[in-house]
Amino acid sequence: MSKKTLTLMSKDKQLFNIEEHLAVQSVTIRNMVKEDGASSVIPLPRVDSETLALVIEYLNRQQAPEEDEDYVKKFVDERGEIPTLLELAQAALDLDIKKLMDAACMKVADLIKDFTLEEVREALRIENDRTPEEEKAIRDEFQWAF
Amino acid sequence: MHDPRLPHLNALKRILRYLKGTLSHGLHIKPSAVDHLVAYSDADWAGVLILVGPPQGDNLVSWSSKRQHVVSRSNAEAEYRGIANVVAEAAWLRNLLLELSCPLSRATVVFCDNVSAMYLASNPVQHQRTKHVEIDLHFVRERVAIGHVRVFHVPFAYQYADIFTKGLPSSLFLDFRDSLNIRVPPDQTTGLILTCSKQIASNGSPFLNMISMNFTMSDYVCDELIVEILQKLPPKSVIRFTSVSKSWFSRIVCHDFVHKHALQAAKKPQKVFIRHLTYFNKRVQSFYTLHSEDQLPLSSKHGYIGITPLEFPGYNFHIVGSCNGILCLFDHKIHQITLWNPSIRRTLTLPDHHSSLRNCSSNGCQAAIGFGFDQVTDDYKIVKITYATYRRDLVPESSIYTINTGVWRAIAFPDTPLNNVSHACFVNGGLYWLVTERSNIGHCYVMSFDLSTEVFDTIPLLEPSWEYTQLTVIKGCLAVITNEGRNSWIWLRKAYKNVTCWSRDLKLNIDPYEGKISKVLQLTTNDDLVLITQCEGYILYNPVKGERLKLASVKGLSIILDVVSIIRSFGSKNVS
Repeated sequence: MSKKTLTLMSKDKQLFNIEEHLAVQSVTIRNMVKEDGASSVIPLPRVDSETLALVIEYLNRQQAPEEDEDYVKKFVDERGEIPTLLELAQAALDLDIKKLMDAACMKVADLIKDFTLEEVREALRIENDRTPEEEKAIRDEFQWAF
Repeated sequence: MHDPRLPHLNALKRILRYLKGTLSHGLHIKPSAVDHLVAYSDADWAGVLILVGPPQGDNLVSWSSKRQHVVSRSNAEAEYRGIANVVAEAAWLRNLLLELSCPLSRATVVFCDNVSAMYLASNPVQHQRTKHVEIDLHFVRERVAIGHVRVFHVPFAYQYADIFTKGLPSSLFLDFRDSLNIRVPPDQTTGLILTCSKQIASNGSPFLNMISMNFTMSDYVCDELIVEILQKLPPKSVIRFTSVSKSWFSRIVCHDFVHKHALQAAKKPQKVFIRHLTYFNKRVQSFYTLHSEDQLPLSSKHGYIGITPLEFPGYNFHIVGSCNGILCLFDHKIHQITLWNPSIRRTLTLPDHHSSLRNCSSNGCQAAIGFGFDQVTDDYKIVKITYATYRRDLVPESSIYTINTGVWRAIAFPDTPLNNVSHACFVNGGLYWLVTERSNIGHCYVMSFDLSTEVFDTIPLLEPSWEYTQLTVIKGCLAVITNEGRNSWIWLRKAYKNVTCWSRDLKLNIDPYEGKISKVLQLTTNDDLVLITQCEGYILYNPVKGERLKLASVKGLSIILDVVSIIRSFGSKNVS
């Protein structure tokens, strides 16, 4: 039986080939294949090529089901940079690959859990729209958490 | 359409041409705060159109165009019927928004181009010409009277609903279509602006740098992802991060988040909670430490490195049970029950429950408390059984407290005299107690209580005359420990093909130096058990390898008082 391959296209128009039975771990791709056979290229306009390469590396893994949990953990552990992990999590969210998304978010949560507020804002690029008074009120209420 | 002719074909062709020419058009919906509803109504065939949002950025959310099923006698009546349809639709939308927890504070504005219909809607007087209008249409007046709806007149040039009812001149048609946000997508312009500003920014203009930063800021990490990450953080970090920004705060405080966080927390490995008692500065003090299951303190030197002892609410408390990160504590002296969530350091003291048996402590009056979570009603429940050991004339009583209702209420209790009731075990939605019969000294049975149906029942033990020491939960099953000379056996209550029965699972050898085993607990996900022995205290026991390791207390004059497993979670909306 010949294995069918699918072609995925990243944001910067790079093409990646992947076998169909591996690609359908992504619910998004599975639905696309089901709907129209997906004979042509599947465009992924929100995923850049580096991230897509990572996702494909993950999808191509050859692990026994019982080792899978450990593999996902190790896979995200090796990419310990927050921006990379966020990109990966975003791609996994778009492609609906739950395990990868959970693992990447878990890793980000692990990394930021002891951050100061400023560090969190910087890492996730969030604007501080709280006045110092409001911040102090929360700080006073939950003094032990700070 | 039974006899199609050439004009019909031409009209059809025109429609197809229009569709072909506007293939790239789409309905655009922009994010905006939902503030009020605006509706346009026009009657001819009764077109209805509803827009929501702030005036500048209205989004079209609902529209319809249908033939009126009754022939109207006057134009005003037709228009009025149109308004009634619009108001009905708007009322539905209002309710939907209310359910989505964004209630509208302002009245729905309905625009129509017929002055008579407008007056008809606000003036509750029977007019000569409208005597025949059905009563049901007058519910519009009711809505106007209570301030949910206001009807205004709109000039022809702004009557957007006309697009559904009339053939309009092409300039007006295009104008209306555009106003309803039916447009060609804005192409890739946003992306272009971004790359342009980035290029310029890299040339070193600080001002433009700021612009490009602002541009990416809002959607650097999408909402869904932030919520996913927040759900995976420990409660302490989540509480701290409420002050990161306003949007983070609103995301965290919503009930849905607390619920989802609890689900995530349940998947994480539990922590082992050790309660210590110490005598320091001539005062008895109680504190606790949390350990991950593979790092239990086995020596007082190294076991507590890097672990901060934290204050326990009071040393009189006895731990009744642990469920979803919440501990139920009972003060024997003053008969007070407190729920405590150590992860967020909140306590909830339950109101006093006045039992008729309470004031007779001289009669050996005792209370057995059970604490558990009912998944059916999404509620925590506390069951209290009060009984008198020495007085045969006093009938045991039981009552239940649910967090959602916040009151104690009596529940039917089987009319059996009790001699002794063990502490409660919570497993699979039920509470269980080991009960010693009074009539038949030494005989035991298990009393069960279903938390959702709130009914007591009994489960017979294998051989009521054996020596049963304790009821516990092992491998997710209810378990009893029996003593036979120098051995103890663990029996699990398991289901085999719809039949639930006790089955012998494990033998525990009693070490003469340790003395009798008074309690067996399973706190970790591996096979290890914690044995509480008379002489040696808390022992970590691996039944497969037969290893026994003593749990060490913190250096100095302290003892371990209690060990339970706990998850770190917000618990529930009411205790958080």
